[in-house]
Amino acid sequence: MKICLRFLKWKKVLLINKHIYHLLFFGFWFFNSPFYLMAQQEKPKLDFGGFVEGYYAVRSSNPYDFMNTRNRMRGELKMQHNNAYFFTSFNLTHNDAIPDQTGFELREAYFEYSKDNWTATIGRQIIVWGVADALQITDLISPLDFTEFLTRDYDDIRVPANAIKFNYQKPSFRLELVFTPVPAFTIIPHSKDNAWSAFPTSGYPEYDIDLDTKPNKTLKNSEFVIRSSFFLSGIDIGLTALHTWNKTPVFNYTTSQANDTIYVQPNYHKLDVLSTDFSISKGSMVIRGEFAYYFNEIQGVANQEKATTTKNSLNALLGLDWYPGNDWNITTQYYLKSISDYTSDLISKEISNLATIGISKSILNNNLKLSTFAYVDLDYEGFYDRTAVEYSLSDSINLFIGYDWFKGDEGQFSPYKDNSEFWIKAKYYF
Amino acid sequence: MKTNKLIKPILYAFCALLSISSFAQTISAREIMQTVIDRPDGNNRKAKLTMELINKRGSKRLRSVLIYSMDIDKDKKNLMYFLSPADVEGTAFLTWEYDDSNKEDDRWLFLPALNKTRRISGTSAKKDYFMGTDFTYEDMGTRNIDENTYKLLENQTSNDNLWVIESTPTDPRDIYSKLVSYIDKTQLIAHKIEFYDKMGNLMKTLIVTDINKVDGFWIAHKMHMVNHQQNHETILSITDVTYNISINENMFTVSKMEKGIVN
Repeated sequence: MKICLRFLKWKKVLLINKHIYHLLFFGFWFFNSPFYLMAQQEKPKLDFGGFVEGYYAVRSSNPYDFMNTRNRMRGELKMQHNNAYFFTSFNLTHNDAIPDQTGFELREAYFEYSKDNWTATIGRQIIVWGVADALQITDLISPLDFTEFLTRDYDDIRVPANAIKFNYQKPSFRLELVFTPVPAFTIIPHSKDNAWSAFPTSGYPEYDIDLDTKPNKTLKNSEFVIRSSFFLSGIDIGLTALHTWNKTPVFNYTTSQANDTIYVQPNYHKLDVLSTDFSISKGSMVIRGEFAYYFNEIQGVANQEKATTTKNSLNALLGLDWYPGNDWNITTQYYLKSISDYTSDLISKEISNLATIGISKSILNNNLKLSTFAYVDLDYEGFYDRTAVEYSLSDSINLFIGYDWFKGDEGQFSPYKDNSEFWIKAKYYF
Repeated sequence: MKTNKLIKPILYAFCALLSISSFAQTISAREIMQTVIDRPDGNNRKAKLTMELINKRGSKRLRSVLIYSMDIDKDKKNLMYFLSPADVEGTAFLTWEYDDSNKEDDRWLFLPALNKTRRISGTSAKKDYFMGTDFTYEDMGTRNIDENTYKLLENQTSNDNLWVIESTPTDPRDIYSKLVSYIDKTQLIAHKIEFYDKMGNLMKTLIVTDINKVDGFWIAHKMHMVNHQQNHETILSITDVTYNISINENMFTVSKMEKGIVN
């Protein structure tokens, strides 16, 4: 046991050192790069900032236990020399409720070089696009981290990807090319001390979960994206082609001979996506839409030796933002997924529906913000709603209080129906 | 050559003064406002805005932004980077403003927390207050000449060098019933503006001071807006002003907005 603990401790130290090593390497490489040397004639600009936060959440039903006790420092370093730019961000976290979150986490570390109309970015970066809010239709390169399900701020949920990105921009047109040598995949919690575990953490039989099996790190398993965007009077249009993977695995379950253990195995499959998105502004409204066709999307199959199959699917989203004035903002979205050539042995439904609604209002000269945002599972009448009050105590301190409400006996929110929680957060920016 | 360079602007200014004073004999209120809107301010410009918000208890908050702006014929493109407070640092706001009053402005907002740009409404946000200050987005921008009707009032001050113009919004949904502007005939800058609410009561007063020339263009460096109804005030200071900088239209793109700046 002692050896085990010591090993874990060393593993953590080594992990931290690895990240620090990467940072140092980046810095060393950057300052010795030809870009830096070329840019010597101008004074370099350096900016270090970030925040310190405390976040505590307690279950609102029996046993009223702490679901989260997160204390965290986020650091962000920016360096710019003429056309060259370096950015890194990291988290230092201590979390008693979810101990495996304690430690150092490198969020992003990338180098960027811009010239005239183009920019090249290389390194660990969060890549986001599309017009959907809090849902991913074509925005598939940076997947989600479900360690705390959806209760974290959305910027904490995105998983950075190690990628090379090329961006060419004219006033009304943008072309983006992305190459991800080793794709990033959804982070799925499964530790027994995490209330947000995607698998049962107690009871019989036990679960033996393998989440380490991922596609091989080879060139043929890399991701490629080409995206063009048009920014026109009153309308934005985007066209995207992706060669990627299903980022969230489809699991197959097998039981041990003694029936005391369920083995969980993840399955990944390549996925090609063609999509279009748009955003139209009309008066106080903005209408948004995203339509994506998935080719050969992996699907789970029930009661068969072969646990998965592939099907094409249509993914469509329509959204409406309303800005009625007086710092009100109302957004709503409807998302539909339809699987082609549907067979009754598929685990997913042929057509699934989800909606979101968000309302926010700022008062007291923007010092107090009230907001609520809900995901509504229209197929199983379940939902997750986060209602929050944010108060700006000073220019550098924000206080938050809120409630996460889960409801649903079936569907994607049902595993968390007993996880409704009150939470408070204090954030100091430096 | 050197002498010419020095004399030229003085000659221009003299001719402009002559033309304005003779023009003023018969000029209509609308023509004055058009002249104010057309006041020379270079093809593009950059400035830092620092806003001090003071509430009725006297407590203060600070906001600051960096603005780039460029004229493209009669239209205008603006790119604004939020510098402080820290929780909004990195947020950026891109607007393409059209002179044609029938054409809605294009607006995009970049939120660094989401690492995402979204198109926002081209009209309604204009009436909202900017970052909790006493300036609406529209107060800080340029109104199209056709969005108001104008009346030249008797000069209610002892200063003959001022025009007093009453502007009445044509849109009944506007938050103001009228604005009374005291415009300097030489600088073509309003030294004072009174904003009246829909009931006709005085809502806000803007006092403009520290007016001088930068790169040959008149600019006000301090604007003090007092909201009489909310007992709240905002002191807006404009610094680091430069005109005709070496930027082009590619500066006013979504990519530039997302890239941000290192301050």
